[in-house]
Amino acid sequence: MLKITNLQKKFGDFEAVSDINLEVEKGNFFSIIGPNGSGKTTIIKSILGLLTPEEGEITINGESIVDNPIKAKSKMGYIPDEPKIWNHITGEEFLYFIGALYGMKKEEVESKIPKLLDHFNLSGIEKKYFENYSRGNKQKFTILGALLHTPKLILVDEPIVGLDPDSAEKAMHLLSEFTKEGGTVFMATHTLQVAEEFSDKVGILHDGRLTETGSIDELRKKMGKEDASLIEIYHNFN
Amino acid sequence: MDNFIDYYIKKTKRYFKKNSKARIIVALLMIAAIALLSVSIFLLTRSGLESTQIGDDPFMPQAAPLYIYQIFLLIVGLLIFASTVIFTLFSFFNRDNLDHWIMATPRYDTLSWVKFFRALIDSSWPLIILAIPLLLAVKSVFEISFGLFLFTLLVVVAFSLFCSASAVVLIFLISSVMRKMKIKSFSILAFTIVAVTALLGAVAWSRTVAMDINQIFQIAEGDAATLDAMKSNFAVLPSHFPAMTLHYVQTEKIGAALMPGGLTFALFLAVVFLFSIIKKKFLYFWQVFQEGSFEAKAEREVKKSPLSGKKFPRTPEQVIFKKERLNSIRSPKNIFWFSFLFILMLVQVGVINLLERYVGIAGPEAVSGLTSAIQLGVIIFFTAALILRFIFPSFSQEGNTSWLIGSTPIDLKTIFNTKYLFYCLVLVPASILAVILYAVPLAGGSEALLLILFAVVGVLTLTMLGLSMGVVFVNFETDDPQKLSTSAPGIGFTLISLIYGGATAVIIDRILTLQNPLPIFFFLLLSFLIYKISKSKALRSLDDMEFV
Repeated sequence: MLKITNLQKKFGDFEAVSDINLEVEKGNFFSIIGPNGSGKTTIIKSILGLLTPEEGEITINGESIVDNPIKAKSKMGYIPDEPKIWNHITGEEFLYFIGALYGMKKEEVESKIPKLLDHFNLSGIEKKYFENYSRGNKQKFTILGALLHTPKLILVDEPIVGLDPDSAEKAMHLLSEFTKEGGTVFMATHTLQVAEEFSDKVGILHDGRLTETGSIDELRKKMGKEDASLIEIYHNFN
Repeated sequence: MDNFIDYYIKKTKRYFKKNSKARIIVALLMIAAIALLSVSIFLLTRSGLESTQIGDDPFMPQAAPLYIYQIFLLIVGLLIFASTVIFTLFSFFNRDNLDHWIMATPRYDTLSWVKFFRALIDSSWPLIILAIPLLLAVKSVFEISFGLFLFTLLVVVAFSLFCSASAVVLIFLISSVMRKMKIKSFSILAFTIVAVTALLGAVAWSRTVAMDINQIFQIAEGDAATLDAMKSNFAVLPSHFPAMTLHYVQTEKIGAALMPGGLTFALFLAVVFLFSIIKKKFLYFWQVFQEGSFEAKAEREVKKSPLSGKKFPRTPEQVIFKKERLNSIRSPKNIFWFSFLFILMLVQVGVINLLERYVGIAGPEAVSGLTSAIQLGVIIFFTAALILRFIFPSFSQEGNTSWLIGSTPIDLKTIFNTKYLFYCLVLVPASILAVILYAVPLAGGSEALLLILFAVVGVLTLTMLGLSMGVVFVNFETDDPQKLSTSAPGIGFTLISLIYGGATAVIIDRILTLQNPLPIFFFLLLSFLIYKISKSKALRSLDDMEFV
């Protein structure tokens, strides 16, 4: 589903990420973990086409994000770490906009919205402006926006920041359900417990380079400790 | 108070510490742009005042300058008033940077004074651009002494401060009444202020545009030529006092000048006194605004989705168009700024018309072609101001939501073209309206199409230039239109627009005066080149645009 080959991205002389190679299969939940400034967001933004890599290739379901960005983007949904939306648009309108941008029909959007709103108990506030929402509610709408058009791949940057514990759990279960239905999730996070609970595979990023990738069991074997937690694995390979 | 002054001084110093060269250049460019405008106004008014001194009639050399002072100072007052209304509504109770002040300072009411003085200073630009050049022109034409010039300057400054302070007090008074009536709706506050401002505008209108100029100048046969009619006509307006001060200074009646000058100071002090009483409610108003039920961020609900029915967007262009429309019409700040600049444009054009009416009365032949050219230049200049405020920053303002426009399957070029179309659909009718209202009646019907053609081409060209410069010099670090439009590229756009507007005025003047159509082709070629070059640069920048 997602293939990254020899990805390199620089900001001036600073090499943000380099020599990134990984493949995420359809239906997988892949988490990339690493300290602040290790390059997680840079990788996600490169996959989305928000940044143009210096070298390497990224394909989504066979479509190159550089050569064919519109087709590649139409297969993706994105949940950013900062849920900033146009201030004077309501939550409901935001979902309609997303639907329209991805070529959905009005009836299709209409039928999906009530179900989506129910996931986070957002019914009743969907007609208020975004500027009136709390950070958590803004985040919930961006999660729903990513799920609305049933993409093949969802990219998530710190999904539960700003969410209350119940909503965080719901958000993670929604993403988990999404993979069970054949979707793919690529998540960047600091929250190792979440990554450990939901991920099929993890990648450990350090100073812009992937130090290890694999399932948690595979990484435990490599580490030589069968009952190692992800925190221990993370410290071992970091 | 010392702490606040210290804060602003340190803030200014900090501003110049980072990227100091670039910021000094920006500051110098701003000064250059203001100086250019002020010098133009000075030259225009000086030549206007000089023309009033020609001829044997002893009455006109006194009456005509007084008429110019009355109109000029009235406009200055209205501009300052409107500018302060906008500042007060959107900045006086702004939460940004205020929370810690409100919490930290034991005497939070000091903050109301700080904000009050900031309102006075921030809204004083018409004083620099219009009033001071007028005073310098008076000094130059009538050779008044430096001491008297200083006196008139102080009176005009007091008048400016009075206009500004009145706007603040008005908003506080309306808020106070609303508090008693337990009304917390921002819309009602805004509507009431607009209604009061419109009422003031109507009074000004009734005393200027609606007046028979022959009556003001007592032109009718048999009338004794005195200034009484003019004085009684303008006496209800506060601008009358500084205007009379100028008149008495010009005619060397220094003793008489003290009365209207003193009254101007008294008016200002009275309003400040009123503020010192009413400001005690500042904390209450501030708190209500922060609850989100009163200010620009009022909690509002959209009862019916505008995306319903046949209006559901089907293409990316339609989505972006709808987004631009909703964001524009739902932002009170945008609506206020747009209305403000648009009304300013109409007022400015109206002033030139009023002066032109005087030209017809005073003797020299009415040079309608030249007036139309100046009008067109003014319209293009104000259109450029609208572009600078709304269109130039529009791509940078997408920075916060760049994840959305960048990650969805929509081409950035589509966004660029849609924004261009959207803004042209707003600005082209506005400029045509302005041309029809003012320039066309002066030049006559035959030139109407030509003037409209020039206005439309000018708007299409400058909109492309503003949008393109906003893309080429995109800045995702801020979404504040004020910061973006006062950056070096913003000022660069202003300067190019000024030159373009000036060139357009000269070209149209040549065409109307010499009846020679050749300059039309030069204008069209110039516009086409600006359009083409800026668009191609912008599209190239979009190819390389990154959302860091």
